[in-house]
Amino acid sequence: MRNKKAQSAIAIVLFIVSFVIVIQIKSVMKNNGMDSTQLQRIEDLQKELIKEKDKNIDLNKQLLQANTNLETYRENARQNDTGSKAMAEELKNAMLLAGLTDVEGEGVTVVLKDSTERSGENSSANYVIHDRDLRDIVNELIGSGAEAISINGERISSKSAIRCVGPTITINNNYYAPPFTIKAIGDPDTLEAGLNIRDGVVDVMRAFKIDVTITKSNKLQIPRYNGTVTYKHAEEVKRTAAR
Amino acid sequence: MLVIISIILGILLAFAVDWYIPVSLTSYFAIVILAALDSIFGGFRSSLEKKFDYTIFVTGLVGNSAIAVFLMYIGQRLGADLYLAAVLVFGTRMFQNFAIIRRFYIKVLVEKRRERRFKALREASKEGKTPEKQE
Repeated sequence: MRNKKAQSAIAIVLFIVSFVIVIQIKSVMKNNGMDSTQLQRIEDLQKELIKEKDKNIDLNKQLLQANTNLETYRENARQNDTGSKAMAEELKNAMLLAGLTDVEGEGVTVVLKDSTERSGENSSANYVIHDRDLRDIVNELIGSGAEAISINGERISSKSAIRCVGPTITINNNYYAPPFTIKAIGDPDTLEAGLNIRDGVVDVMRAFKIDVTITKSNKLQIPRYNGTVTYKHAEEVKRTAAR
Repeated sequence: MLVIISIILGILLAFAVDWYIPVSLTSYFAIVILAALDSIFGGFRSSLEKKFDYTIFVTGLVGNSAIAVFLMYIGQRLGADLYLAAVLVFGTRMFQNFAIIRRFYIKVLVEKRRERRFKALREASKEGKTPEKQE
């Protein structure tokens, strides 16, 4: 190492290398010593998820736009043609029935939260909210005369399914996890009474310390069903005049 | 001396700043570090042999790193661990260079010892004493 030039050059490179090595060690340690390929995979999946979510938002916007366009076309048609007024009225009723319009009115809000109780001897499955709990509540609400129901903003329409998907529940094919907020428009007293029947839905759930709160309110807003309604297999039965 | 100071400075600076290498680049940095270490050993050796050339050193450092990174990238695309080629070459060369450096210093050490002994002998003979110290 008598060569001054060589010494300085090597010293500079060593400085950089030692710096980078320490930074690298710090980075690797920060990643909990996880395999870089694994982390790469996670990162890729995250990116993909974000991309899909963005796409989803875009598509939702498009759908909303299309729906508003449809609304204006219908409005125009009604104004232009006086003969189609009755038809427009019928369409409005049909859409209301199918859950394709935003609605508001008096009703109840039910909030469900997973049990805070420890499971103890019983199976822990009893202490979480299942798809069937939601279905029972929806069923009870409809039975008590609810006119419109939504769970976490998902309108329950004639095409809605509530299904168990691992730790989450899908409603209208969208994933939801507790807490669940169920809104129902109808006579508040009847709805509440229906839910609170002894040994009824809510009674059983409360036995397992699942947090159920029912509040009546004068004005509830329930959004429209966001999916598309298409019938591929069912066709209208044409009544022949002969009968 | 300068070398040790630069290493310590580099480590201290790295601990001082709050920089992190993105996950996707850690493997690239690892291979670049290896290339740089190889260049350092090579430069050390050539300076011992008094053949150090600044241009060769810098081009070797940059070129080796570039090829290693390229191999890594291509390997990832092709699904084969081509970077192993770089690891193997750099690793082997590092050991070889280390062996040469080791031999050089051992030779220096041995020569020094021999010189010292010669000097002692010469001084002893000047004073008119016999070199033997069996007494």
